Amino acid sequence: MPLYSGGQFMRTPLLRPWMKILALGLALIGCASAVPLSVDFDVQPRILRLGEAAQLTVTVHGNRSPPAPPIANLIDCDVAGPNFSSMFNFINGSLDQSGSFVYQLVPRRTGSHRIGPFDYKVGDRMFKLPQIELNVAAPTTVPVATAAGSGPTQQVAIADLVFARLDVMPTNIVVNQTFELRLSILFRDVRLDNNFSLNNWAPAGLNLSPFGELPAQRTMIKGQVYEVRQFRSQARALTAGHQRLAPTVRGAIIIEGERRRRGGPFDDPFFDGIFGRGVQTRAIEIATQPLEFNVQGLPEAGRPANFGGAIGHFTLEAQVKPNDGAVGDPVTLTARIAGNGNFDSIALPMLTNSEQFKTYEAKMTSKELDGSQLNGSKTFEQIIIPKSMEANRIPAIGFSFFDSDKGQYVTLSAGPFDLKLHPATAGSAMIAGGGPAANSPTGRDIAYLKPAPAEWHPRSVAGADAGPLFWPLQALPPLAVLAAFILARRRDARAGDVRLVRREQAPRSARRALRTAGEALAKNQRAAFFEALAAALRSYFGNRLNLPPGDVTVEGLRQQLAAAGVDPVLAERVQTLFELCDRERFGAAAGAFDAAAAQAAVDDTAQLLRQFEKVRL
Amino acid sequence: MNFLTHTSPTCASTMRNGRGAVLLRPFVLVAAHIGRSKPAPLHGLRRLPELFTALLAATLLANAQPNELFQKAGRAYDTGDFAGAGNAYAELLKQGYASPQVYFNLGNAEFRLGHGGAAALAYRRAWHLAPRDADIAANLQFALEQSGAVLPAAPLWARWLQSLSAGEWRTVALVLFWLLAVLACVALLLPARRKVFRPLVFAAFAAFLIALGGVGYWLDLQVRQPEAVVMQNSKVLFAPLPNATEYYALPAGAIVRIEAQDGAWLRINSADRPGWLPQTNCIAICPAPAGGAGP
Repeated sequence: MPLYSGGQFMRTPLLRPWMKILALGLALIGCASAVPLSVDFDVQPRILRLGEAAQLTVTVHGNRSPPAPPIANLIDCDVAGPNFSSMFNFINGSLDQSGSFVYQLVPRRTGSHRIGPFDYKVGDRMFKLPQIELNVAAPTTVPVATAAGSGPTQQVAIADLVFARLDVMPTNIVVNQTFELRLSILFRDVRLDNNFSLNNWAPAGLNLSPFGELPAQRTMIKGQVYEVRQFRSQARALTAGHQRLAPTVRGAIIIEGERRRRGGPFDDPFFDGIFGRGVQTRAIEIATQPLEFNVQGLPEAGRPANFGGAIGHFTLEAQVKPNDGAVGDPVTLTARIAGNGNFDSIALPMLTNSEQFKTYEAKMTSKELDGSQLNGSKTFEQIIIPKSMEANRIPAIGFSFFDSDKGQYVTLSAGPFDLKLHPATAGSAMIAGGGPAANSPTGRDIAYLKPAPAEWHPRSVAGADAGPLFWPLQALPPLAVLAAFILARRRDARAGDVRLVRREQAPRSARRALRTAGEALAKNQRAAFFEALAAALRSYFGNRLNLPPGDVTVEGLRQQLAAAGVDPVLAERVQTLFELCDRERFGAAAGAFDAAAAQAAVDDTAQLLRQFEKVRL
Repeated sequence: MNFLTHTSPTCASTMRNGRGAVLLRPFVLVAAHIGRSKPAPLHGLRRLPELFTALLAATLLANAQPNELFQKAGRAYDTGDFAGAGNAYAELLKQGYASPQVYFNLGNAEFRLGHGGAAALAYRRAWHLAPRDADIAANLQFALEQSGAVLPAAPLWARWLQSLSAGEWRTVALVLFWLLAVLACVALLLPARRKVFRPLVFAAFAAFLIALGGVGYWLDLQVRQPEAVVMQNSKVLFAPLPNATEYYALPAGAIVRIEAQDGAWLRINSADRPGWLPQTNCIAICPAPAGGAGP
């Protein structure tokens, strides 16, 4: 049966989970709302040298196969492309199908180039792609080696090639305001190492976050293209006054093309690739123009009572939900402060307890800030309970901040908020402390005193007063487990060691046989007696020497005992006893059974075996 | 008046404040009793009943004093002498007789005196000893509501560990420790039953680890002291400086999390808002063994 035949396909057990996942994925894609049609237009870099290429990108969102944009004939620019690519993206639950056209632009002359504007029609909609200006500088004339100071022909001061700048944003700063310090390192015609450090950097009265690097940029200064590496720190002025920052940046220039002298057999260009040809770094101090700015104190005049230290530009939105309910039912006042400024100083002064309302402490429910922590929003919630029918209007809430641009305090307010109230239910009356209801609590108070404990024990930390035997007793369980473990190991070892088991069985089996011999002697059974005596000897030595029962012979035993270095007297006694038993068992038994001699033989055997217990075989 | 400078029951400091004398008291009394009745040395089993009776009497005597003080505090409370009641409960705590009942009643006395912070502190300490006691939870909630504070929200795992007190977790851990040892011995010595006992051993071990987690949770609260109660209405500042900008206000009784200490200032966090408070404005719920973090 073919796999793909009709309904059987779906019923194939192996494929069913995959089909479900696929169906679910398709359903999700179907449910996701599509991103509306839009066009992004960009050219990067916008500052370049003659001979370098810029990349023009047109991205159409909401359409996977848009028409090519009309970017073909640009004056004074060679245009290559486009390269087209399309992709799917899920952005915040929305499906974005986009198509991108990428062009390479190579300017043919220096100066300013204007790219666009273009009219671009996608489907029924016409988009206006804005004009973008490209600045093209003459190609570099300073060799890198020269820049590093090793070239003989053209001397260029290193300070012209690398310098740093410190900027503050914004420039009018007040105490407690969070602002940005931006360190820019500008360089051209040299390569800089990635590691930088700041010397002479101990700003007093400023609380600074570590510097974080921003995306690299380019800028044009006096017709020269500079690469710009930027670092940003969030700062807060703790005190008012004049600030002067004049750090120096310590970095290193990477010098290429200069081969190190190694000497010896490796002093050959052949080995340059192996040993890293001509890559050296040279430490430099990059001068920074001093940055001076003033930190103003917050003015006392006009300071609102509810000012909590917020500085920046903010908006306030607030709402109450639900705005209709019973007396005693809680309502939630939600306030959202959004904008730009020192969000860590924002605490919304919410409502306090009053005759009409019972309020709870406000809680911050969300904080959405960007990477700089300066832009975003904070949302607060406060539970409010109207106590009576008169509490049908929640007062307005206010939020004050200092607008550093305008240099004045601004107070925002939201509300008042009207409530549609109806009489309390039985449950809500208790919370509100309102009027009595049938079978419902009419008031609230703390629970009464507790009775004395049954016994009085001074308390302490764990086990400290548990008695002197408490902790030693706790050693018993691990010791017991250890003993059980050792026993189990020994048992397992014995189970696999036949020699050891037979060694331990040897005296027991001999004793059993000697008991049998004693019983035979008591019954005056001569044959049985010697049979048992021989069995005692055979079983003992068979087990001691781990021999099969048939291998225990007088001759074999004599050799084994001699090889083991046993005292010859003992060996002789063993041989004598074996021969006695064999003679009595297999020879012609002569005369009467001498019980005393037999008893002596038993005793002699027992004593002999006891002696052998002390002998290592 | 401050009833709350005594040491907490759950801290090592309790060990030092006369606890040895209290523990020895029954034995001293037994020795005195026997000494009075018959000076001859104890021989054999003939004197066992007498010894038992004397020990019982000594225990009753040892219980009598705290009981009397407790009843006296209760009578003072009933007559409206809340300060007297609070003093008596504080005296019991000073003697080392810390129990949920004493802390609870002390909280009631403080509440009646209008000391919201001190009441919340006493209730919270009572809750540490008996976290499932409904009366303690209700009074703590009520005291916090009256001052406008809210209980800090604990994560689900912490709420689960709070279902047993430190002592209960210790008992559970101890029982599981012994049970684990017994099961391990049986599993080792009876290889034929190993298939049955092995999962039991693992289950007991997992339960033992959980119990250790419970012990560790409470121990952490005692040792690291991350919680404090604000004793009076306070302003949380942006910096540990007297003239620093005010961030927000905290009512007396608010329970805050202590994040760090800088001299006489505590960096606290309430509802995800870090700020600075003078150390004198709040008391750690479990004071330090050296004498307490509070005033």
